Amino acid sequence: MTDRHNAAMSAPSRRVFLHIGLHKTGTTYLQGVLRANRKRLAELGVFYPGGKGQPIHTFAVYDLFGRRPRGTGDDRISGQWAAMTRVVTESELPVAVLSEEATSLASVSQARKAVRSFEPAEVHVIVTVRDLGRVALSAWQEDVKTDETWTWREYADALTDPDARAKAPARGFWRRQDVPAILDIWTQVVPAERVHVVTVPPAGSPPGELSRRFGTVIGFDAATLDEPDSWDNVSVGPTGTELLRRINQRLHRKLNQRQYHDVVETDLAPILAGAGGGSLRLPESDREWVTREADRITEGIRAAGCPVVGDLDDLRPRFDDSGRPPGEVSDDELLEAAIDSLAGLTEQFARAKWRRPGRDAAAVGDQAPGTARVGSATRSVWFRGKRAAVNLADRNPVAERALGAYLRRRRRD
Amino acid sequence: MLTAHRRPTVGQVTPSRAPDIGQCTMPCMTRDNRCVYLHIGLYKTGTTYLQNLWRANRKQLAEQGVHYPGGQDGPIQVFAVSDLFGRRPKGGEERIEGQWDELTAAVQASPDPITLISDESLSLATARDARKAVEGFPDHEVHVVATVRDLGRVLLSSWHQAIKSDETWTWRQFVDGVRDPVRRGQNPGRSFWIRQDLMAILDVWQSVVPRDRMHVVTVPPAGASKDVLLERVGKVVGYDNTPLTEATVWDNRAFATADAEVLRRLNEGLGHRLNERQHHRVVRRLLTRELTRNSVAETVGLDPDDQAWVSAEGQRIVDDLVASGYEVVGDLADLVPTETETPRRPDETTSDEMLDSALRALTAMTEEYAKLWWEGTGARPAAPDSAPRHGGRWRSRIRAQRFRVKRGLLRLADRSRLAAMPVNGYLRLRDARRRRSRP
Repeated sequence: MTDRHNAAMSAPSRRVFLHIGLHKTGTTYLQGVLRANRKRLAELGVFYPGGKGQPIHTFAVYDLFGRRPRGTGDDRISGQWAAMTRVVTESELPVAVLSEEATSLASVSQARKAVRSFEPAEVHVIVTVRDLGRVALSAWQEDVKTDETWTWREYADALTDPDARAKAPARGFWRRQDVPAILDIWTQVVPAERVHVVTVPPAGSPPGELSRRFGTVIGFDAATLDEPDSWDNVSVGPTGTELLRRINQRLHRKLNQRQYHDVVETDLAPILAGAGGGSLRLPESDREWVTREADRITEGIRAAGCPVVGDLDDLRPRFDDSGRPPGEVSDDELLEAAIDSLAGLTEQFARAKWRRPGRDAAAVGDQAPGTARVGSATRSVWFRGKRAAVNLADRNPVAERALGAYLRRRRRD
Repeated sequence: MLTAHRRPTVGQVTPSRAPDIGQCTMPCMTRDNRCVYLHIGLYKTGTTYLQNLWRANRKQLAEQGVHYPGGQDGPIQVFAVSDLFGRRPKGGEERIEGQWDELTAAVQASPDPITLISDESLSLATARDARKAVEGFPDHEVHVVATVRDLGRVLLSSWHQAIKSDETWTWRQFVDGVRDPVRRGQNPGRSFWIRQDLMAILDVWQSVVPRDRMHVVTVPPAGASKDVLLERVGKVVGYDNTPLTEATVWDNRAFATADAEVLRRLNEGLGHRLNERQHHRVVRRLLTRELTRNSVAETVGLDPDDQAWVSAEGQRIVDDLVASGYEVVGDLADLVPTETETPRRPDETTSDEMLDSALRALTAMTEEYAKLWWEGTGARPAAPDSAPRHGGRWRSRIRAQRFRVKRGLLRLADRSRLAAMPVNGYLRLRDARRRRSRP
């Protein structure tokens, strides 16, 4: 290609960090930090692709896998992986970071293809890992936010049933959260010392701790970065989640993935987040298996021999009695949330529809003769005056008495 | 309860009083005896049903010499009356202008001896409006037809209508407002009585139409065949209803009590932020239709005190009608409701029922909104600038095909035990291999 391209290719010191997730481990937050500090990072020698005219991380990984959102065309996806590798290779900065949690779903051959795309750069993998209790609840909520209908009980029972592993939801969950299996894949394509495990600090840790750990791996000081304005996925509580689950039951997957995402994530979730109902907590009956699986994961990380940033003890599930177990919501709470959502959505629907032109039949009045239009317009002003007077009566007692008297007289006449 | 005063059917009695020609202000110079029948409502007396049927059977009516204006490229009756009154629904101004003149011109040009015009908002006319309406048909003999229904059912139906029109009164607030004579100048009493004070409305029209051209038709009681109303109006206008067999697309359906309460609360939540037409389209059309689609007719009734009041009012109307000498078609007793034993009041519902209703509405709204977004922007995403036009594309497509096949197989595994078996086996094998490979 170009000279510049060749120069970059020959730079032996270039390093590419692939942050592969996992899902529900604060990835949205980290991506928010990276996005908000793109310029500052470049000054530190770190390239984080994105912004205007640049490929999109999620789409690039979708393209790597051949994945397309259900029910949509592939216009936005096709070619994105190639575009991503190109902008990284052409960049003059010594370090590049890519972050997309879907990368954790790669098979060995897909992982290998991803790594080889950046040759001869030195590819590192970052895996963020969080305590399984929080991850499991969060993953269930995410499923409900993506058109699934299983209750927490059904979900948790499936995760612990060895015979259900080939089926949704267990298949999807363990594919995303079986840390030893994921490390096994990536350590086959890069040396184990280049697969970095970052543990997510437990609730109550100082803000910025996760990005601090993340920065340590790549080699920048996160303290010099700005916190993003708003990074959190909208948090939908027990009431909102249960309501959404019931809507899904009735929708019967009639919407395609993007339609669903647009309405639920963009419009419904913020309304439901206001529904309150506190936070979710793991039911007591799930503590045993969650602890067992979390121990297995911690053991697996140790055995894989990958460097760990943060404390492996962060992955030990912590249980407390605040919050409510999933699904324990009264009809009255659901009803209130349903009506709030209905009002919010109705308003946005009406506004969206209103913006759209061409909905009205053409006015026949355009062909009416001038005199008729003047008459029509006069009547309109008269009517408006009357309506205003009458509306005034609803608010003002004097106007009301006057109108009442007029109406009584009219009635007698 | 208050049926002691019940009168026998009046039927098609021509009033004994001679028409009060002295009050007739219109130029009574009818040629060829051409007539216009203005069906002025009242509101909530089956007008939607009648209008839908007449609209669907325009041809069958024309065959009998009855012109029902409108249809393809024709004037729209409801807009014409809005134009006559100067009324402009918020957000729909441009469709109204000039429609009244269109309508009168169409009637003038029609070869049919009889024209039927139906719009319940005609019942809101002032004497001035009524005169203008009659003057719109100088070559016709103008008749007025009013359909009247028992006040109890009108009350319930009006409450539902108020909710459909963005109001938030509870049933109790609504009924108390209507019943309180002191609060006639204030809503909901004002809107109710302006539409339902039968004698006041007839007085307005008989100031411009001779008394013997005023016709009152009673709506048959609940449970009667709807054809009865069509037939009764037919007796006045002069059509035979049996050939009007064309079915209508849609009809107003009654709310279940839960639906009414959910929409009422929805209006509270909306806080009048939608304009009249937005609310009409979204709440009245879309949501109401969705909610009433599969609703089972519920029997609801008034509590004894309201029932007694309604019966007394009904009786007063009957007495006034008899005294007025207007032609009455149908049974006057239809206007004096008898007490019904009903398990449920119009506002009696449970959280369970309301939740079901709210979820139905919310699901429908979610779906509609998603589709709207899809039509608008979703279906046409732009390709990124940096995507290569050649080369990478076909490899990308092959990956897409492979992914799709895999996803299809996995989805199959979710549904079929047989398909799940190899997937299960593969996963176990993988796990076992992994365990063996670890130290």
